[in-house]
Amino acid sequence: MGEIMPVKIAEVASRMDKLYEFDREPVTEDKLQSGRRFAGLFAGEHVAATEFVIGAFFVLHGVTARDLILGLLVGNLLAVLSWTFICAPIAVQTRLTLYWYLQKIAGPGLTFLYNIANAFLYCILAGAMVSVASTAVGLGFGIETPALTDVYPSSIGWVVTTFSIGVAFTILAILGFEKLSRFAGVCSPWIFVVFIAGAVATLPKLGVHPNLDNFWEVMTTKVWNGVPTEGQERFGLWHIAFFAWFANLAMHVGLSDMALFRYARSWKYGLYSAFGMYPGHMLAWLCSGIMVAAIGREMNPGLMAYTAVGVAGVFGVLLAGWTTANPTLYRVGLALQVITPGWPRWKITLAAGMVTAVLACFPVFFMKLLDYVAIYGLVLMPIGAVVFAEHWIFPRLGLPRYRAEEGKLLLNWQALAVWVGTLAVCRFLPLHLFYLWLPGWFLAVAAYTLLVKLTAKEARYA
Amino acid sequence: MLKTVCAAVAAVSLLTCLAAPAAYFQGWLAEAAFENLFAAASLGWFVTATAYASRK
Repeated sequence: MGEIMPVKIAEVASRMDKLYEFDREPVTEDKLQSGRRFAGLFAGEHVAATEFVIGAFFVLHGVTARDLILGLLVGNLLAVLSWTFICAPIAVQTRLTLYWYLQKIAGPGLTFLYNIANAFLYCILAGAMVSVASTAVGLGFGIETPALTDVYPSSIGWVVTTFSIGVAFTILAILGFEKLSRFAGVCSPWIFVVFIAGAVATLPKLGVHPNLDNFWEVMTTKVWNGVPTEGQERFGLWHIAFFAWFANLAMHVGLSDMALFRYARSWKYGLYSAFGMYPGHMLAWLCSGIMVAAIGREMNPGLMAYTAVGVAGVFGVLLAGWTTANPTLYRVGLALQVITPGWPRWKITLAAGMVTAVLACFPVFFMKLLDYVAIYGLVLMPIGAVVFAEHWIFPRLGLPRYRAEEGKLLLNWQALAVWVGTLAVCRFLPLHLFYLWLPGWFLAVAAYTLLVKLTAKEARYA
Repeated sequence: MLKTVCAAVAAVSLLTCLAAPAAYFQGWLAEAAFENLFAAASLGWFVTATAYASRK
């Protein structure tokens, strides 16, 4: 019995390797991409359906205009620096994806667990996108959007609409990922324009004069006025700064964007992430904040966009939901393919899509999106810390690297212990959810280094 | 030739999507006219940008 589990994991790991075979080799010099391409990628990828919700939530959490702007400037800068100084240098030096680098460090067993965790988290994220799209479709059928505090589905209408959209997105994902992602590329500049147009068209409704002489006054009294909506915690500068920083934690500090930066000519290409953070996140969040103020702070992206730009806004929310849920469903399918041997891709995508559609019916994932984004980054962060320690600290301390690869280990237990242990410690740290990941990261780096140092000594004396 | 036309119309459509709300804000367009113009320009963008992308 004891033998069965490792053998099964080894089988699964071997299937997983085959799946990712196409990017096993380090990227060669002739495949490197220009900086312009990175700028375009970041600008296109960071304006999603969730931006309609995030910016609106900042208003509901009663942040002041000053704290919001300063917080976004600082937080997005920290995110750009994390890409530039943490993620890009490791990617450029190894030219590998996180998947293959983690294999060397932590073994195929842990990489498998990481993939499954990632797939589950992606399902919830895709579910939130479906819920956002559902607010747009529901508008046409008079379906009431759930309340801010709702955990369970609030009406049959909401369940039917949301589940149907989930099924429709899944069918589209099954029909052809590549063609659809090309169409998604067409959508992204327009979706960005919907945010800007929505905010500009909302200004007269808020009472801003055409010469803008009362612009700041309106923004500070009617939009970001420092008064939270009932039942919402009040946010300050550091909540915003940390949120902007960790919104893509899994990508920069968590290192999953190594997949992208392994094609960069230099680690300095990390700076191109600013195109996603400033014209992307920052501008979209500010615009959705303005739009939600005009509908009485109701968390209803569909209504928000409809009130701002009319029917086209409804399509904007629907397309933003779909274009972001589509690649997410694809990634879930890819991650789950390893535990469903022999299943064709359509079957896996269907299964992942059904799970996503069911999750989407629960408004808690959409109404607690800010907390979910924090948890998503936090759960994957220790793995980034383990890789960071192994890449930068171990050579300086003379510690052995790539023990899983060298020792042909199925699982590096030190890495697993640090992953689980860090999350357990973070659970009990007396800090706001948004701030947990930072001490957690330092803790994970220190704990992994110490654990390997101690066990390396043990191994030497044995 | 068709590709260039598609690119040009797509760019104009997207610019119109940006100009329409600005015109509404300035009071040069009524709300319904702005929404119709925005919707028409959006349609223009999707048709021509998709045609452009598929000819790449």
